Amino acid sequence: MLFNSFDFLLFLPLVFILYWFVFRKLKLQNIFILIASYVFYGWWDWRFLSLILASTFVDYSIGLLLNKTDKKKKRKLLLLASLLFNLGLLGVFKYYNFFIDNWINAWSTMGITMHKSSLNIILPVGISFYTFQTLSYTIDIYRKKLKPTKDFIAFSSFVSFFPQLVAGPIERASNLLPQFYKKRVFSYDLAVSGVKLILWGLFKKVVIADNCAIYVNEIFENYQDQSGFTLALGAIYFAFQIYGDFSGYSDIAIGVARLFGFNLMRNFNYPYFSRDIAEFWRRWHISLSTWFRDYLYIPLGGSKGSKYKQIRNVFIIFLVSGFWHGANWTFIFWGGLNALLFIPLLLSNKNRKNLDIVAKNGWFPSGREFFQILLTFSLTTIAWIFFRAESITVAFNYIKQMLVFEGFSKIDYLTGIERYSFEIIFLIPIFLLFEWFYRKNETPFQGRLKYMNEMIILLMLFIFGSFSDHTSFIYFQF
Amino acid sequence: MKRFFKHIGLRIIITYILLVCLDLVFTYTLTKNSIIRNKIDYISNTQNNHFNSIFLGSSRVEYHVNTDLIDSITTTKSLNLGISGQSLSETFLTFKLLVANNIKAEKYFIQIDEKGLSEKKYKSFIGASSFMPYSKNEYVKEHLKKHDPDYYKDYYIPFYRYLNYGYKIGYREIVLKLSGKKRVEKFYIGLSETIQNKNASYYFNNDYEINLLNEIISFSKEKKLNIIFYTSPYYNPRNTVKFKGFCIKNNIVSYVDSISSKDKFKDPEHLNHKGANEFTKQLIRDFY
Repeated sequence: MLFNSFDFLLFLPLVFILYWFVFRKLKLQNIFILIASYVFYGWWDWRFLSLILASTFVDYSIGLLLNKTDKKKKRKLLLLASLLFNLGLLGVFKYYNFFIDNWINAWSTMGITMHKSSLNIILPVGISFYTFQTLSYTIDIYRKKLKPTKDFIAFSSFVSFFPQLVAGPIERASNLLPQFYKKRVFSYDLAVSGVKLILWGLFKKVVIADNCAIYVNEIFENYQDQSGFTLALGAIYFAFQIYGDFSGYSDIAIGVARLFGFNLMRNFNYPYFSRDIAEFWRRWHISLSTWFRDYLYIPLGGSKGSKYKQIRNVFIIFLVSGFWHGANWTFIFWGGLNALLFIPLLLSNKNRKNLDIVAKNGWFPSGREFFQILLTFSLTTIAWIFFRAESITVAFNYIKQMLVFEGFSKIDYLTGIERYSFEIIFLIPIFLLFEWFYRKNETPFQGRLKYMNEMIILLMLFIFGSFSDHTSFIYFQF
Repeated sequence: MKRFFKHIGLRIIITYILLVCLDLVFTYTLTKNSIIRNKIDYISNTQNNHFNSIFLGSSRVEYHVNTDLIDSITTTKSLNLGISGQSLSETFLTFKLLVANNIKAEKYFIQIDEKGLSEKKYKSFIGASSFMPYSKNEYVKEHLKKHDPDYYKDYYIPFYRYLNYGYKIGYREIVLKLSGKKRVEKFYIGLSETIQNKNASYYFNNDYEINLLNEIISFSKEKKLNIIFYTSPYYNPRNTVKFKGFCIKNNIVSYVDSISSKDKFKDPEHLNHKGANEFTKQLIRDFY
């Protein structure tokens, strides 16, 4: 079920009313959330519920077994079993064809032809998200940072909690699981803030991301025929498409969770106002970045040890993070590129320089800050080209062609096709203005202008919202 | 909770009012404007007109029947009302609207797509979109009620149809309409491209639905209108035996394999301008 679908428009109020008015006891509420979550997921393909169930059962059992033993070897074996199972699921459903294809290609470069036996495997929606969520549970128990739960329903609800099941935020058991133990009391402020986040998230998704997607698809699919200017626009539009799409989904997820009395972690914090790449990664997909930091980067040694080790660790987390996004070399390259952009900051000890929001006490950034923001945005946008392109070669060709200026006469794209015309040129600046002036808040629906902003966003949502293309969220594929 | 419901209730009311207003503005702009942006606009803005022949159907009419050529050779008056993306259901609705607006013809040619007969669904998203601004029209309303699975949502939820079909009748269309940009200059569109792959083919299905065809026949009998069903050419058609039998049984004139040359097709389902001229001459030969 998509958040921007008519089905969800009926599903959400129904679940809300039943949750608060019919199933008022904690146990019943948890069971109801679990059923609602399975319906939500099964709407897409009920067969893959079996994977969630298997993942839930395995990690629940391993959690309990870990608690029963203090023997190091046995604990290690149990952790290994959880890792093998969860990463095995990912390996089969997400990476099998990638590995097989590359294996065959490697042999063919040596002149040995192998029979191709790629399987037609459907990627189950959200598999990368819920496997990481359950893994964090087992690892935290292994590290004795968390007590395992005996409440199977609470644990199952934690794994499959429908607002964040298919595209995050990737919640830690230490944050979300205890919320299933405590009786939820309806909070007006929490629920209203949730509604505001849902509205803002929908705006980002259907107005910004989906309108950008129309251009992006057209430009990237026919990049050979486009001028450098158009290709630059295509890259910028993709930067806003992926941001609007993913942060929009996260906002809706957090907002929906609040309606049920749950607090999820913030996943985006105005990343395009970052002054360097390190700051960008503290503000972009925070739940994944911190997951890799806590479960991979720090165990590898983090920023301790020799410079060589530090660089190695940075490369590892960025490459793995890239690979997490998809079974394609483009994602790995994208991760590597981000590592290359990050390392100079690490080596000069400037990676933790910009911790606060830009121009915290002022209306506008200084000239220097403005330049830094522009540079960081440009670098991330170039990296996004690799993320969006079909192959690394295509991405390089795209960039090569983008850098060729063919004169102003070639800037004809925007008037060329009726359907692909004008609106995005002013939608993005409006979006950026809202983001800038409310960058210290979650949404623009705060302060003196909150009602006016609500009306503007609502109106823009209906007039400019792209509902008819029924586009699903990009991050579903990861 | 009460306070929250009050908060939500107020927003639902505001949203509803907003949607009603937007619906009115969009419908007024798209229907009460003399700028002809599509062929349904043309029908809605025309009344009491007479033609010798009118051609109805999908892109396989819009791109295939050169009505200028018919008019010049036969010195008659013909009209191409083929609309890309239309299914047979929408073609039927176009036919009904013609009758309602008293746009008459001695012969109504209705092109039958093989694909349209083999698909169980009666609706094409693109084809249905141009009718949506006119959904309060009683002919459109009655037809959609029967044939459109989204009818109740489109009809009763204000502005839903403009959200659902936004990319065809959304704000872009409003801006273009208000700026006076005409879309339809010529009703026949000749395609210039030629099919690249000579081994391309069109594979026919085996099951065909007859209900809608019978409805069209009943309607034309009731209104005493002369209709001719036909199917225009496909490139390299395969597995045609069953369809040809179906055509004979239901009085559909089959031109399925009447043109075979690769340079007369744009793709397996569409003739290019050269092919359209040859096919139009075949129609003139057989019906004029």
